[in-house]
Amino acid sequence: MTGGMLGFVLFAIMVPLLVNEAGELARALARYLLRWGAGRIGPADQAERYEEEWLADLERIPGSMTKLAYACGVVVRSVPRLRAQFRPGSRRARLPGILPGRIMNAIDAQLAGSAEIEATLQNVAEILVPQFADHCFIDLLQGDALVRRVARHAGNWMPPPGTWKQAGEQIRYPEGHFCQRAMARLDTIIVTDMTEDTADRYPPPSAQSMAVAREVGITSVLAAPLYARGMLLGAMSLVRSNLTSRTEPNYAAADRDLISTIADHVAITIDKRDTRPRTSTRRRRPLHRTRYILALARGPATPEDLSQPGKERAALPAFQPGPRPRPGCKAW
Amino acid sequence: MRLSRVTSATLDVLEALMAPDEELYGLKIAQNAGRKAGSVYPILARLEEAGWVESSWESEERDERGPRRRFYRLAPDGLAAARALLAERRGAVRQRTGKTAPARSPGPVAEPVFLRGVAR
Repeated sequence: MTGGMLGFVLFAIMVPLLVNEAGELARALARYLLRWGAGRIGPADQAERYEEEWLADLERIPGSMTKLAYACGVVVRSVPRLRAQFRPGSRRARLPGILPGRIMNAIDAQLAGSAEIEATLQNVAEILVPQFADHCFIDLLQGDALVRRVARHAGNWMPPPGTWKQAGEQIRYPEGHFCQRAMARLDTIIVTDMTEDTADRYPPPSAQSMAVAREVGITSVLAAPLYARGMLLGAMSLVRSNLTSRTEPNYAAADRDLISTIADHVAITIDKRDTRPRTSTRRRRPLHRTRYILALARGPATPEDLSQPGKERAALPAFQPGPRPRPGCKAW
Repeated sequence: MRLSRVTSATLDVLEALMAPDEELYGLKIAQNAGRKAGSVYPILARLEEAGWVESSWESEERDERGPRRRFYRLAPDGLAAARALLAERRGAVRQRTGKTAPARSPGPVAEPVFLRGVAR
């Protein structure tokens, strides 16, 4: 009788404990499986991306066992296919491996040099044009104004005066333009196939600008924000057109990854070379994209603004992202 | 850019992506498409590589901490291509916004609200 009571008490205590333990183990195992599976995909950037994406989706699944089933499903179904897609030899893997690898090395060498920032940016554009693009533009914020610092075109082609902005001129992108979208979303924008229909979705800065775009036959566009240490510095855009004959006139998703990396490196270099006095005591304000858009919408800066290179970018909303756990952190 | 391979799962995912929801992440797309999540991520990767789909990380300004979701949406030219493909293969676009997607039955076709009035 005493043995029976003891058994019942043990059962009543142990079973809930075991069930709870099993739940914890299932959740931990699910996270482990997803991290392991992501690591098996191949390229480090893709592994990191899918690890975070899958872990975020895992959080939305109720129930420990369901989480484990989800993780098993991803490992069994997704990992082999994604691994095949990104394996060396596939188009996606080949791009970052050879040509973009050389481009990145050349750009990093330029960025590490001691030349003036204007010359450095010009050299970066020369590396990209015509190898990777027919047109390269780098626009930097100066106060509230966006000023074109680099405009490089393939084959010494030059746009007619008064059409596409030249270096030194202020540019204002309308709402919906790919560069404006890139800066507002802080994400790279890709327009894979710029047809007449597509072009209508991206309002041009001016009618003259649109006419030149049609004349050169723009086929594809990449636009990336220049963004470092919580500060938006400007935008960089690469354009393919009919100026040169290419086997691949359209940018692909892999190219977007490449320009994102290039833009990050360029932004870090600009940020480092920025010798203007920083208001280190000034608390950085949180970024509200609507405020940034409003800042752009306030209209062109006055000539007085442009003549003050020391005018701080503080007028543009900036934010400090703050610490955020990366995949693999125990907090997850 | 053309898709190299179009399966019925690809069509389901494209239909799910046409839902008038701005925050479509992988798991939600899989639920709306009535497919296993594990089979949807590779399809999304192929669509993204082909330029039909754009993806971006969840905003840093969200309240909760932890891993960010990856939001998917049809690229402007991908939307037109997807509609043409679905019209060719299935006759029209079916709405897939429910929590559990219906089985792939040729039921009545409901055009998404956001597509109504849009010239084809």
